[in-house]
Amino acid sequence: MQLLTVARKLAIEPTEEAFQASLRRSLSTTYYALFHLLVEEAVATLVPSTPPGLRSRVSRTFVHNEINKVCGQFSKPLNPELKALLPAGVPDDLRLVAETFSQLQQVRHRADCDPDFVTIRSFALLRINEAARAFSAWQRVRSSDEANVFLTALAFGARWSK
Amino acid sequence: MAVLAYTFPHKERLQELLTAVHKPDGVTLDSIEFGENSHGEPSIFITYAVNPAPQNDEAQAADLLKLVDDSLQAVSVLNLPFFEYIDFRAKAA
Repeated sequence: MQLLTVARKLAIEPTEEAFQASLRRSLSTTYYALFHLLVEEAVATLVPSTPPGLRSRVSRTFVHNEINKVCGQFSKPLNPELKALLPAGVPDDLRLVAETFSQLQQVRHRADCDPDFVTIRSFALLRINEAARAFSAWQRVRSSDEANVFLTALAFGARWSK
Repeated sequence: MAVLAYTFPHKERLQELLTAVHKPDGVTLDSIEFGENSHGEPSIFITYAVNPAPQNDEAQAADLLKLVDDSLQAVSVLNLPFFEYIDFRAKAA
């Protein structure tokens, strides 16, 4: 949540001489706020807390592309492997988290990598609000079986269909 | 994004669905393009053009968030096997 606070500050109080750069950093930071939330939750669910440093080490193995693919799977009609694990389907809150992740990741890519990217403050605020809503949705759904499947898929989703 | 230079199936239907979505004042549907996302996966990029609202950025952000939701909801009926991205560009002042 601290990163979202930083993102909002960058959007609301951009430095005058670097207005576009501040908004781009805001968009990027917004994405990373949600990325780190999900990675932290996955690691806390899947990895022992000892020895010290183990969770931190595992956190660095998560791959942006693989997380996005998993989010795509949870945003669309489920494939057979996931359907077997999620007989009740994907809760709306979890679907929202997954959809938001994909949207923010694409925005981050443009903000960080496209030299022609230009944005305005309301677009940055929109993405911050989108992420904040996903944070709230995650708090509501995080204790569910479906969330456990989602977090496990974030780590192993690339090898899910084996 | 890498835009693929051909017309993809469903484009007309997508256009119909998105035309029916309510848009805030000053917002118009700008483009629907098929291409690849940052990881090379097939994706649909829906872009709206927006009149900047310097007097009330927060209100505009709230309106645009609703537009993101409504747009994703509208296109979900097609169940397309692509990522769908909603983006915005500011109209020239």
